[in-house]
Amino acid sequence: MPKTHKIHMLLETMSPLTHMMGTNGNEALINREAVIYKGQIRHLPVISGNAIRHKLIREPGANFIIGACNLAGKMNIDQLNYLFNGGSLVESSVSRNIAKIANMQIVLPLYRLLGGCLKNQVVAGSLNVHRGMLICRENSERLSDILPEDFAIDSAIFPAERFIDQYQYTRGDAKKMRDIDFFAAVDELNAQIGEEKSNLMIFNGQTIVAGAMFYLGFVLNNVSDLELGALFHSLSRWNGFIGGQGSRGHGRCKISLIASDALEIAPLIMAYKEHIMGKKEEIKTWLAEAFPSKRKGKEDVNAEKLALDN
Amino acid sequence: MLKNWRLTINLLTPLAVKPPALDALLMWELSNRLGLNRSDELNLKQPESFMPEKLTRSVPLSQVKKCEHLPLCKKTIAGVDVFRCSDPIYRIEHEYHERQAKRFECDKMALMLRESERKSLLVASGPYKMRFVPIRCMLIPKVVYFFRGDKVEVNKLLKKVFAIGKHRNIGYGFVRCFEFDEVEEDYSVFASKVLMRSIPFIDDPTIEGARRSYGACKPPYWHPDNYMEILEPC
Repeated sequence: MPKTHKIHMLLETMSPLTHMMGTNGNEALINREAVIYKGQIRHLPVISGNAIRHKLIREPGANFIIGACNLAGKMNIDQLNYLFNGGSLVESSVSRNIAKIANMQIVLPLYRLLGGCLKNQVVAGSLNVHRGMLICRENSERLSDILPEDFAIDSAIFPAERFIDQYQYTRGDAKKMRDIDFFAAVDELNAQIGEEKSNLMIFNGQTIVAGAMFYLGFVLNNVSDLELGALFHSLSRWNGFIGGQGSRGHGRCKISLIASDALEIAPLIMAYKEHIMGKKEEIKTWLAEAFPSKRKGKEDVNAEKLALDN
Repeated sequence: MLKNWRLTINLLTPLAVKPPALDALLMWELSNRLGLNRSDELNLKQPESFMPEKLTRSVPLSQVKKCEHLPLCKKTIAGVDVFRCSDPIYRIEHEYHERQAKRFECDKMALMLRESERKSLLVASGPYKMRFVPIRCMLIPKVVYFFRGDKVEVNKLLKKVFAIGKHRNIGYGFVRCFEFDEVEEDYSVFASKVLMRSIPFIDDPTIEGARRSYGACKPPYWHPDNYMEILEPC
């Protein structure tokens, strides 16, 4: 029986978080949203719902499906674009193929949850994702309104600016490495050939400090247990990084569930995994039918399917 | 019980684009519940002729099931039935834009593609275009509607409305709470002589706060079949 679920989670930063909105000169600026606090407009750090949807749900979910169905190295661009980016509307939407949508919703509960775009049809999803709201003084009232009663936020918590810090890195210049040789550097100066442009660059930006906490919320409208399982399964497979500069160790986070109306999560995840493992062939067939290669005609779906099978 | 009500929607997060009309919101919700809006409850065993129609701009309204039994009173103006609910009334405290990024991550996808598909990919335009789209955000603490209708039924329909406006799936326009207050006067279509909602065009110089325009005055507001000459509040 389809049900509507509300899931409340906490995201704690384990390393500086750099989720940016743009730059000002050489400085990267943290993503912010406007809120009214005590009659004044404040711009508070926020993790966009778009980033949460992609990094925590869509990407790990797509990776699992590709791994489970052994599809790596066998897909075309449209199939990957659908699985990882939600697809693009590229054909006239006058005609509709309801059977294709229904097949997708049967074999891929995750995409029934997230929605997406077939070549000629936009398919709505069932998942609404809250923005990641920083747990800070300015947000305490808003958070207290949406959190379950047991989790009210103390209004004496730090203000948002206390959670913002700076980082600075220097990109080295390989040519300058020779300057370690003092005599060579002196020779270079004497010969006045050191006028080449340097690639040495200092760059900096704002971060959210490690230890800050964000509220994450998910609303699932009229979903089955399989879709709920798909959500929790994707969250469990998340690599723990969000935002930019993950290669430098930024954005390492951990999430914890604080309230949900789904009591048993493990059986939901198991049921979803079993569903995907049991529908491998149907998933391959559906992907081949919905996103055939451009060079082939629609009648060559079987050949496409054969390529996925091999 | 049909009475005059003021509905206040208190918002939690910034709203993208603009708030919806109350009748549109209720009709959307009712259509969802009747299975008319989406292909949610599709059953492959059913013959195709029984499958619910997905309404698009190209499907004439005359061909689809009507969903007009909202718990709102109606008023007939110039031969057209409009629901007795005002347009959204709100004050924009702050307006700014945020950006939504989307890109096809070629670096991650390269080895997932089959060899014949590994080729130069245009990402400046076309279906794989990298996007950094601005979203117009408005900081609106509350949106107010006046309506004449059944509060209990309206509340039932609003029970599952968690967000309003555009981009609800990524956190815009989340609702904090709904508040209903009974009011004595009916401000749903006119407040004294001031126009409170879009109505079909009538040549009445006594109407205040209105301008002539072209559009829809009943839901679905986006459907071309509903377009006509209208008077809209200004």
